[in-house]
Amino acid sequence: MKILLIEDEKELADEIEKYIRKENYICECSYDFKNGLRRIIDHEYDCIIVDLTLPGGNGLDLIQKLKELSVNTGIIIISAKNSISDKINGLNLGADDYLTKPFHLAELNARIKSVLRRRQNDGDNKIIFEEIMIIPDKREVYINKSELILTRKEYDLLFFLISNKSRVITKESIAEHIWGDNADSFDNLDFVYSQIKNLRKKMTEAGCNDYIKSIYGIGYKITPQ
Amino acid sequence: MKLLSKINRKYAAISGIVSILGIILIFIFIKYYISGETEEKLKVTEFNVQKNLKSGYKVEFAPFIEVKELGNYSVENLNLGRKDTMLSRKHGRKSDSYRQNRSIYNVGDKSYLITVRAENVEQFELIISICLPIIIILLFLILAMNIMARVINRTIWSPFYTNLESLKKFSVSNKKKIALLDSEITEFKEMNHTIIDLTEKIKADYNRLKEFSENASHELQTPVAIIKTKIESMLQSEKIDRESATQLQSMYLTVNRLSRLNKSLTLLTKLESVEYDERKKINLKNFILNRIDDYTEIAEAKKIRIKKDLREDAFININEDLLEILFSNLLVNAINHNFIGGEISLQLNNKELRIENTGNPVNINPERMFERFIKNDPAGESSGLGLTIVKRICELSGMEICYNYDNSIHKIVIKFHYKEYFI
Repeated sequence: MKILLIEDEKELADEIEKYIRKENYICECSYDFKNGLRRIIDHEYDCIIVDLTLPGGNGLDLIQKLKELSVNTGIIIISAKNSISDKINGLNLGADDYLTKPFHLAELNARIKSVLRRRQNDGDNKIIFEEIMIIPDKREVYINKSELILTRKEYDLLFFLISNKSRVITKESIAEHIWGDNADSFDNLDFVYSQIKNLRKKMTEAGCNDYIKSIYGIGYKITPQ
Repeated sequence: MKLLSKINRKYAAISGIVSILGIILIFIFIKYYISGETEEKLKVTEFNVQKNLKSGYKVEFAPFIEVKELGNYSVENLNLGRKDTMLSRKHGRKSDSYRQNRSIYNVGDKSYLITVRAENVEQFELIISICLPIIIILLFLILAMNIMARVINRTIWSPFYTNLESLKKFSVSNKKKIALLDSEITEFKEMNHTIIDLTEKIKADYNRLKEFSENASHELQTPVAIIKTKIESMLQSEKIDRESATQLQSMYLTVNRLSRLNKSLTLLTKLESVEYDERKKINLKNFILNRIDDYTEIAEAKKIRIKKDLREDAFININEDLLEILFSNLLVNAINHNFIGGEISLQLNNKELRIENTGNPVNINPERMFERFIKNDPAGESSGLGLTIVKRICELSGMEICYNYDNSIHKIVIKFHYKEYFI
């Protein structure tokens, strides 16, 4: 998988690149409009992550150019502007997703994965993690081939953890991912813990090993044994 | 008091004073004129009496003409000359005032005392006959002025009132130029020009300020994003120990707070922008039912029970994104500022939404609750902007919000004003 990141803040770009590389994706970085445009023209990418305000031009123009060149590249906009009109314009031009800065790396990673998955061979893709198998298109979970019934939130949680496997995911990013933008405004994030507890219980009862670890009260991590 | 009534009152007072002066003047003039006439009349009568006496006739017509033959009276006690005198009437006690002239007239060897009198005009009657017409005229004048004032109010002042209404509705965030009715009157014209200049200047200043705060918060987002990302990536390290993890976590929480604060500030500056102009008719009951489960889960972690009593459908005309923010801010507040094991109650009918929650007493004046950065717990996590945003959204959507604290329960009531929506 080849990913292009166009982001003018080098510090931010480096961190994103590091995170993405761990997924064994190839990641290239452009720090300005011109360089980004050249890369888009010269190479082919599976997914492009683009900032809107770039030195030398607007990210929306890059998206337009990209759409003229190839159809099968996923596009995720990351922008400091939480502007509805930008969002609508971007999505109308053919972007797959819009993420407002500051965002959680885990969230970006999950979004990249879902964009890539949608672009891969049509449907019928499975995600396998040890004895757990997830069919994202049907939102089904199987443990040792037998189906595990989860609530919508439990499913989202498991899927989010597995998308970011072997990484520490903070409670805040889980709250935001599952309960929406405003969820991190709560001064008490115990509801994340309750949800994790429910999920763990259901999974162990279905005969699954407990892969979810709590990390110093900061967050959680799912790791293969 | 209206300007015209004020002016009218002044006019009436001045007319009153002038009328009194007029009455006094007229009185003096008439009096002077009448007494002159009376003197003349007395002279003529006296002359006629003397003429008659000369020809041997003694004319008498009491009390106006009296002629007496003088015997041995001493001349000193006769009250000769002119004077005013009171004579009582024959019937009744009332006496009248007369002007009299006494003189001695000699015909041959006989002396006659001639007294001629003329009735004086009674002062009181004179005053009444002067005052009455003038007072009537004055009353007519005041009436006419009032009618005039009404007519003027309706015609000349009407642009003024129309403009006053548009001024009342003026809002700095409205992009349209304020529309004022033109008038032919110089003062009004000048006023309109000044108002238009002033409002445009205020708007320009406001927009500059707004732009600045928008830009400032946008510029802040990127550094915050970098810090947040760096911390998240440090957390990934296998090498961190518990102590560094705690430090990192507290940094992470703080930067999240900063980011939330910044988001709220950006939102506040953006609430009035075109982005949120589009409104829809939304059934609040369904809206709440669709979202309440999320909050119930979150509240359960704090053992807070959410009771809901959504009796009636309530249709409100509002921007959906703003409603999301409004509702979420209210519930975040109700959960955050609650006890463990507390309670939240949601009541909805077609006139109002009432959100009540248990919680610690506040030592803030309830009226200041919606101001920026007013927090009950200054060290707390909350941004102090949540309720400010809520209030602003209510204002923009034509709803009224009020807060009060009573008996360890915080109450927020949002009243929908249907009138404004469905005209």
